[in-house]
Amino acid sequence: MFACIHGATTLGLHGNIIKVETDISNGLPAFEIVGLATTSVKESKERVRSAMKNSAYDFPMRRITVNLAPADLKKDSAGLDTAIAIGIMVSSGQIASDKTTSSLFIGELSLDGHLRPVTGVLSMVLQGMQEGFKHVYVCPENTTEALLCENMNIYSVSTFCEIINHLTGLCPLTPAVRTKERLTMPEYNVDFSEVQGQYTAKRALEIAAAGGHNVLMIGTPGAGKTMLAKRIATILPPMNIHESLEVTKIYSAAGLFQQVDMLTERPFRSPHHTISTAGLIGGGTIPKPGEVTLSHNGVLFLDEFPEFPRSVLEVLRQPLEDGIVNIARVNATLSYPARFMLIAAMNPCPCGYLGDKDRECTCTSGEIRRYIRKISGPLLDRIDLHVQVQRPQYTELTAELPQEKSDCIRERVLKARRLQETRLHDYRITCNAHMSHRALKETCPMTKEAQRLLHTSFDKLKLSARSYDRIIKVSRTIADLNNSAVIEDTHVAEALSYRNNLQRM
Amino acid sequence: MKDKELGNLGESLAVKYLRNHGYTILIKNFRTRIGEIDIIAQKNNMIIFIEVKTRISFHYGRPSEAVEYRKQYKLKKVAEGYLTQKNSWNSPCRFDVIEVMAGADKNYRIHHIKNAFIVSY
Repeated sequence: MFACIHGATTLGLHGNIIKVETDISNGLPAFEIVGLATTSVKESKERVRSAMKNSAYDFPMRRITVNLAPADLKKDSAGLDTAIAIGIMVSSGQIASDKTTSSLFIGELSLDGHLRPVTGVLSMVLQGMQEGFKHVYVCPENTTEALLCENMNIYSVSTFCEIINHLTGLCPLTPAVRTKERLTMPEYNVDFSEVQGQYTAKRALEIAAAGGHNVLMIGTPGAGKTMLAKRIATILPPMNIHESLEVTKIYSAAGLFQQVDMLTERPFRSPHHTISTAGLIGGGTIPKPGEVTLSHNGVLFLDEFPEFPRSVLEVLRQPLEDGIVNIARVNATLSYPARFMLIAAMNPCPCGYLGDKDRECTCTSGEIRRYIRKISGPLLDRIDLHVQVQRPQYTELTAELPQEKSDCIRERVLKARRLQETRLHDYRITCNAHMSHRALKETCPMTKEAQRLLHTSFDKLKLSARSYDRIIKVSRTIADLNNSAVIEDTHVAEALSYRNNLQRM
Repeated sequence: MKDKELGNLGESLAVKYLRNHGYTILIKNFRTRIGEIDIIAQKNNMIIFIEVKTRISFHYGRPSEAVEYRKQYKLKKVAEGYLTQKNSWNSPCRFDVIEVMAGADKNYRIHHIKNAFIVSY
């Protein structure tokens, strides 16, 4: 007898619905799985057989052929186990086939018949919803993740028996319901009020957060660069439902979804500088997401920027410009989203004290030049805000002046973001940093004075076309923070002050 | 007792056992170029290919342990030969192993493993 059951796998972030066709016929007993199955799928034979036997069902000793369609798609997930087992149950006549229509079965089987969690469930369920499926069977560990997708009946099943008893009507289950609100406000254990002084840096980070710009912090060791960067997440606007789903999908596909509920906190990733290229942008025979993708919609913090191998830093160019990474391998070409805010921190010279008020730098000019040169011009060009972080004075540090709370800063950031969202709604982007040239032309009116200032500085500083655009974007954000519809010369002037000044030192 | 005699003894004991349990013996020692199947029997319309293993001691492991994958593969090939000859590819079939533990003075024990293996290669 023949049966067709639906399971799912993932390729990158995309869920694929797999038709599991099972046929049982007479002849020499055999169990074959065809349809470009990798080892983990081939091995499911043994898991399925033991799981069925140990759940007290009959494993037919006949000629069993399982076909996984589409046949040209590589299947690499043990999550098809359940679908294969159900297929055998149906085609051997142990359950009726009409019970399994428009249902998805996702889960790895253990030998005793329990279901095990798999990665990428959210992508699979979302794809299932698009293709018109109504019921999804997942293990309890995957249930909260699957529940993020609305309008589907999610059944949380811990054993194979439970599915069969539900399908035969012996012991019907009720669909799981979500227990928590989808979006909750994230909580942080750090706050900007803990940073004494550093007003320029704070202002720069506020602008960056408001417009989604990239920041490079340059300063002496221990000045507070890392401390500032760690707090940037606290002033970023909360993710909307769409962004949150996107991020959850990435983490689910990467197998990093350990939270009980949806990810609401913007990701903050700070990889160590020994990271490899593949680790940063993603890689593998079937490419896995890298750090840039894991920081999608959030912050990628690169501490000790020049210590990163140059080849690793240069791969950041494409994601910084386009917001996606395309990874091509023999087995698969995938594109992952990678729209992140880059926060980089570095010392001005190898010894770290160049430009310090009190300590003298012991580096030769050659050493400094070599150090700075580790970061290429094109990369620096893509970082909108360059800011100096000075070592705080003793009196400043112990002054105990009341510092602004993260919540206050976030209020202003939020206000600016809302302006941007309404203005950029037609372009389907949410912040200034992502504006295309056309959007820039159409939405950034400037006063005469501002235009004149930009003209002179363009000639004097020999700006590139890209940095011209970027200065306007930063000016636009500063104008938004000041609640001004047009860009004035003061806004441009402030934006210019954050321009690249590494070479000048 | 020579090996061959022991084997024959085991096979005749297995045949007796099968007849007692309602099996019809279709053929004994079915032989092709590739090898031999000890007994081919039938019960409830199912064709059963049976390998009989006889031992007098456990010194070299259980009798059934001797049916490893090369033997299984050979049995499958011979079974295919039989099915082709009889043109009965559509009938249900299975592979069984019968262990015969022969002791002194005609004492023996029989262990029948139904559905002993499936061959996927």
